[in-house]
Amino acid sequence: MMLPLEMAGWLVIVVPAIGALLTPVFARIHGALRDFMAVLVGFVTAFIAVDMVITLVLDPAIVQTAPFPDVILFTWVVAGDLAPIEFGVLIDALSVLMAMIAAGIGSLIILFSVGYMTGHDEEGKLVKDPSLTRYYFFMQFFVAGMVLLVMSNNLLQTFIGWEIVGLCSYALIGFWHNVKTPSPVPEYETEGDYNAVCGMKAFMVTRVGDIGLLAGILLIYFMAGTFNYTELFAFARSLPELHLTADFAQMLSLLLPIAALLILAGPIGKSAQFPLHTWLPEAMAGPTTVSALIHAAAMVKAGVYLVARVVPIFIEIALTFVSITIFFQVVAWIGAFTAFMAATMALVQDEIKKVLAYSTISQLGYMFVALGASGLVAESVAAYSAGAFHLLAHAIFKALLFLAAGSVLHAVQSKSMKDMGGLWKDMKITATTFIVGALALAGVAPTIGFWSKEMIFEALWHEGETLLFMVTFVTAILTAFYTFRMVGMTFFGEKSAHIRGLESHGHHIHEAPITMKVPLVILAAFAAGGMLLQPIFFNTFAPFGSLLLHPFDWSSLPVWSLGFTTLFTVGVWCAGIIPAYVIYFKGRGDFTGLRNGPLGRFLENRWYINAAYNRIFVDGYLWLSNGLRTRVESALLSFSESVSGGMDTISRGWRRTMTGVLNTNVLGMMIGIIAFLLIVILF
Amino acid sequence: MQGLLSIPVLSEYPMILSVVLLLLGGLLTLVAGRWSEKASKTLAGLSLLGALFLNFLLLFSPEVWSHNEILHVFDWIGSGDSAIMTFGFRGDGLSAPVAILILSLGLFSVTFSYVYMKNLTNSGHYYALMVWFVAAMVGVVYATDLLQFFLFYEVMLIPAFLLVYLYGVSDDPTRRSRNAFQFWIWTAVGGLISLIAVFMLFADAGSLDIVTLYSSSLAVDPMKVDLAKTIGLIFLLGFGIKLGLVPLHVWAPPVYGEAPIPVLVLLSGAMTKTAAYGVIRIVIPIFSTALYDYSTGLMTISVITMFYGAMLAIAQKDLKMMLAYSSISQLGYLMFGYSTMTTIGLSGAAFQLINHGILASLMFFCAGAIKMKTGTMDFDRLGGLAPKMPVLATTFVIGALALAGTPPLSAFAGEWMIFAGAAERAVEAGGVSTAFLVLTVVGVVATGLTAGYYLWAIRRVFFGQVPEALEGVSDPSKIILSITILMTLLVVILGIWPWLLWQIVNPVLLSMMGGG
Repeated sequence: MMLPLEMAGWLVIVVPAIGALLTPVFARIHGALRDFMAVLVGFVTAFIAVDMVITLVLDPAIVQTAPFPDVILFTWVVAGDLAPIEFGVLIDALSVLMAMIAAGIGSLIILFSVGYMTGHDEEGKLVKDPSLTRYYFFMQFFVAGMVLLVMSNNLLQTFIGWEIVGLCSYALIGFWHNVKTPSPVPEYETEGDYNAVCGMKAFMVTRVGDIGLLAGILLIYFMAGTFNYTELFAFARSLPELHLTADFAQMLSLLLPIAALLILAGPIGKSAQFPLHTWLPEAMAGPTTVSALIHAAAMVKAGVYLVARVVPIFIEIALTFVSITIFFQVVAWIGAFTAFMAATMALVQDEIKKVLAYSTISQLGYMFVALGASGLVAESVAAYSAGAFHLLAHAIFKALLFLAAGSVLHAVQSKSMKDMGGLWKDMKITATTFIVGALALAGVAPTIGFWSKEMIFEALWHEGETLLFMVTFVTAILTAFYTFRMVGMTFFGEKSAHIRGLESHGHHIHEAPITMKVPLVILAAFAAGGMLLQPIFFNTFAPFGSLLLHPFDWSSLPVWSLGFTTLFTVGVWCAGIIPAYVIYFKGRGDFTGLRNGPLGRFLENRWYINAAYNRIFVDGYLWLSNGLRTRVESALLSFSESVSGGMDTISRGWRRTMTGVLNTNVLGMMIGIIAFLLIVILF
Repeated sequence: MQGLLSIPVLSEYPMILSVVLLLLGGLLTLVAGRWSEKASKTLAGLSLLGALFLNFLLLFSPEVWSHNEILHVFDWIGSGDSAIMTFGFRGDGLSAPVAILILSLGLFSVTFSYVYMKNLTNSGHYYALMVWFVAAMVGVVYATDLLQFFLFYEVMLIPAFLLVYLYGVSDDPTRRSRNAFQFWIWTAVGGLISLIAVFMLFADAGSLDIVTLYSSSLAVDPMKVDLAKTIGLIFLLGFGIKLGLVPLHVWAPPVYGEAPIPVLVLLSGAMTKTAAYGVIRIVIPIFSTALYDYSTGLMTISVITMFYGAMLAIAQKDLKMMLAYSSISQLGYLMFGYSTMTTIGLSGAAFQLINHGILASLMFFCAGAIKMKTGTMDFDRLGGLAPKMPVLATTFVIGALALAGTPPLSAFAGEWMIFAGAAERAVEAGGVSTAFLVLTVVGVVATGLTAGYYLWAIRRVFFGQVPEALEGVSDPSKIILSITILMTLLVVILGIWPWLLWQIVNPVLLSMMGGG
C-alpha cells in the first residue's frame, strides 16, 4: 500500500537484522534506549509486513497472476560451472502471511518482554535481567531470520534462514545458563545448567531433521537444476511435456520421492513432529516470551511453511510421477499420529508451559494433516487453505496463551499448576484473555480456532479421508479436555499452598503491567474476532491456492459454513469441556488412582520415547566413541609409536657401524661395491 | 580490467619478493634475537606483515584480478630451450588467497606468541623458525614445478620439527623428541611417497611443469588410464598422510598434543593445507578422469575420517585434543569434496580449505587464550566462563557453530558445495547410484556429529557454574582479542557473501578442470 512490494520484501528482512546488530551499540548508551529501540524495530518490521499484506488484500490481482514478484537481489555464489545461485525475495500470499505472523506477533512479544523481563527485588525495587542485550539481540535476530526464511525465493536461502532461527532458539532456550540459584529477578525461576542442556537438545534434535533437509535440497537441485521456487514449480509443470528418456524418467520416479521425504525430515524436526518431537517440551526452559514467539507462534511454523511451500510443487510432480504421493501419505499420517500422541501427553502435565508445549506439537500435527491431505484429495485447495488458516489461527491463540501464562508465572513465581489455582479474582484481564485463547485452542465457536478446525474437518470428511478424520476428531476432544483442565487448575478452584504462602509474606498477586496487558488484549481480540479474518484470508489465499494447485471453484466452499461437521464440533464441547469443568473447576471425582496407574505413568514418561532416545543416541553414542578411543585409537597410536621407535633403533644401530675402524669401513665398502655390481649386472 | 591497487616493481614480482623477504627476515630475526627479544619479535612480525602486503598486491594486481596469472619461471637444470627442471613462481586466483591465508596465520601466530610464549631462552630461534616455516609453505603454494613443490614441501618439515622438539609442552625431553620424531617420520615418508609418484610422472610425461602436465598424455590419453590410476593413487597416499586421513592420521594426535598453540595453529591450520593444496593443484587436474571410478572408495575413506575424528573428539577430556581430532575430522570434508571429482565438490573443498584454515586456527587461539587465563584445558576443571570472558566466548561459539556447518557462517558455504558434489554423482543420468545417495546423506550426518561435540564443549567450558578456582578470570589481552575478532568477522562475512572470495578463485578452478 505505502511501500512498493519489491522494496518492502527486502526491507522487512533488513530492518530487524540491523536492529539486532545495533542492539549492543544502544545498550552502551543506555539500557532503556536499547529496550525502546527493540520495540520500535519490532513495530517497524510489523508495519512493513502488514503493509505488504494490505497491498495484497487490496489488489488480489497481484496474487492471481503468476509469476509472483520474485526479486533477485544478488549473486550469492557461483559454484563450479553451475548456474549462479541468486538470492532474492519471493512475494506471494503464503510468504507475506508468514512474514506478518513472524513480524506482527514478534512485535507484540517484544513489547511484552519489556514488562516481563523485569521484576522486583526483595526491597521492591525494579530489577532488570543483566543479560538483556543478549536477549534483545537474539529476539530481533530471530525475527530477521524467520522473515528471511519465509520470504526467500529459493530452497538454499530458506535453509540459511532455517538455521538462523535454530541458532536463536538454541541461544534463547539456554538464556539463563549460568546459575543454579534463581535469577536475580525472582519473578521467574530458572534451572541454570539444565537450561543449557535443553538448548543443546533442541539444536541437536532439529539438526537431525536438517541433515535430511540439506541432502534432499541438494538432490532436488541436481534433478531440477535450480533451488528457486518459481523455477522448481515451472519444472514440475513442464514435466509432462519434457521428453524424458526412459532411464531418466525411471531415476526421477525413484529419486523424487526419496528427495521429498528427505526434505520432509527438516519440517518434522523443526515443527516437532513424531519422531523428532522430543525437543519442544524441554525448550520451555527458556523465558516464556521466547516460548511464545519461537516455540509457538513463529519458528515451529517454519516446518509447516516449508511443507506448504513444496506441496504445490509436489502435487504437480505427482501428475507425472505418481510415486511421490507417498510424501503426502507420510505428511498426513505423521501429523495425525503426532496430534493424537502429543494430546495424550498433555493430559497429565503439571507445568502450565509444558501443557502448552504438548498442545503446540499436537496442533502442528493438525496442520500437517491438512497439508498432507491436500495432496491426497481432489479439492486440494480446500485442505491446503485449511492448513494455512489453522497456521494463522494457532499463531494468534497460542502466542496469546503463552503470554497470558507468562503473566501468571510472573505473578505466581512458579511454573507448576499445582502452585496456582483461584487466580481469577486477582488477575481478571490475564484470566479473561487466557480463557479466550483456551476457547480458541479447544475449537469453540465463534473463536478463530473453531473456524480453522472446522475447515480441516470439513476437508477431511467430505473427501472421504475418514480414518484421518477420526483420529483428528478424537484428538480434538482430548484437546478440549486438557485445555480446560489447565484453565481450571490455574484460575479456578482453591488457592494453592504456594500462593497462600506468598500472600502471607506480603506478596500480593497482582495484574501485569501495561506493556504486558496491551499485547494480551490485542491478541485476544484477534482470537475472538477471528471469523472476520476468514473472508479476508480467503479472498487472497484461495485465488493464490487455485493458481498453484488445480483450478478450483472457490465459491463452492462457503465462508463461515456451518456444515455437517459443526455438529461434531458441538460434540467436542460435551465430551471434552464438560468433564474438565466437573473435575477441575468443581473439584469432583478422584482420579489419583488412574493418574498413578500404568497408563498415567506411560503418559507422564512421554510414552518412554524420550528415555529410549537418550539411551540409544546419547549414551550409546558416547559409549561407542569412548570404546573407539580406548580400543582402536590407542592401538593405532601405539603401533605408530613402535614404528617410529623402530626407526629410531635402526638408526641407532646404524650409528654403531660408524666406528672409525678402517677394517670395518673397507669391508662395508666392499659389500657396497659388490651389491652395486650385482644389481647392474642382474637387471 | 584494472587491478584495485598497483605499485611498480612490488606488484610485478610479489611472489619472489615475499619469499626472499621471509627468508631474509627470518635470518635477521635470528641475528637480532641474540641481542634483543623485542627486536626479534618486531622483525618476525614485520617480515610476515610485509609478505602479507605483497600478497595483497598480488591479489589486487590487474592480472590476478582479471583471472589471469603472474608467472616467473627460471631454468634450473637443463639448457635454455629444453629445461628439465624449472624454478618458478605462479601467482593466480588460487595461489594468492592460499598464500594470504598461510601468511595471515603466520602473522597471527607470531603476534599471539608475543603474549603466549613467555620465558623463551632465545626468542630469535623461535621467531626465526616460525618465519622460515611460513616461508617454506608459501614456497609450496607458488611452485610451478613438481620437484620445486616437493623441495619446499620437505624443507618445511625442518623448522616444523624443530619447533615441536624445542618448544613442545611436555617437560620430558625424551617424550618431546619421540613425538616430534614420529611426526617427522610420518610426514617425511608421506612426502617421499609422493616423490615416487613425481618420478613416475616424469618418466612418462617428460616434464615436471605442473601446468604442462594438465594436458599431458597421461591426463588425456585413455590408453594410459591404468598408469594414471597408479600414479594418482600413489600421490593421494602421500598427500593423505599429511592430510591425516584415517588410518594414516596416527602422527597427528601426538604432535598436536605436543606443539604449543602458535605452532599448532601453523601445523593444523596451515601445513595440512599445503597437502590439500597439492591435491587440488596437482592430483585433481591431472588425474580426475583416471580416478573418477575410485570416487566411492575415496569418499568412504573421507567419511570414515569425518566420523572417526568426530567420535574421538567427543570422547576427549581435554579441549586441545578435542580440537585436534576435530581438525582431523574436518580435513575429511576436504577429501570428501575432492573425491566427488565434480567441479562443485572441488569448489567446495577449495573453499573449505580456506575456511578450515581460518576456523581451526580461531578455535586453537581461543583454546590458547583459555589456557593462558585459567591454566588448564581440562573440561572437568572449566565451566561457566561465558559471563567471565564474554568476547572470547562469543568468538568461540561463532567459530564452533561455523565448523558445525551452520549458515550463514563461512563453513556452510563450502560444505553445501562439498555435499552437492556427492548429490550430483547420485543424480547422474542413467540410473540412481545408491552408493552416492547414501554417501551424500552420511556426509551430511557428520555435520550433525560436529555440532554435537562442539555444543557439548561450549556447555562444559562456557555455560553452567564457574568453579571457584576460576572466579577471577577475565577476557584475554587486546592482542588476542583482536586476532580472534578479526578472524570471526571474516567467518561471518565470507558466510554471508562467499562470492566476495569466490569470484577470484572459481575461474581458476574452472580453467584447471577444463584442462584436465
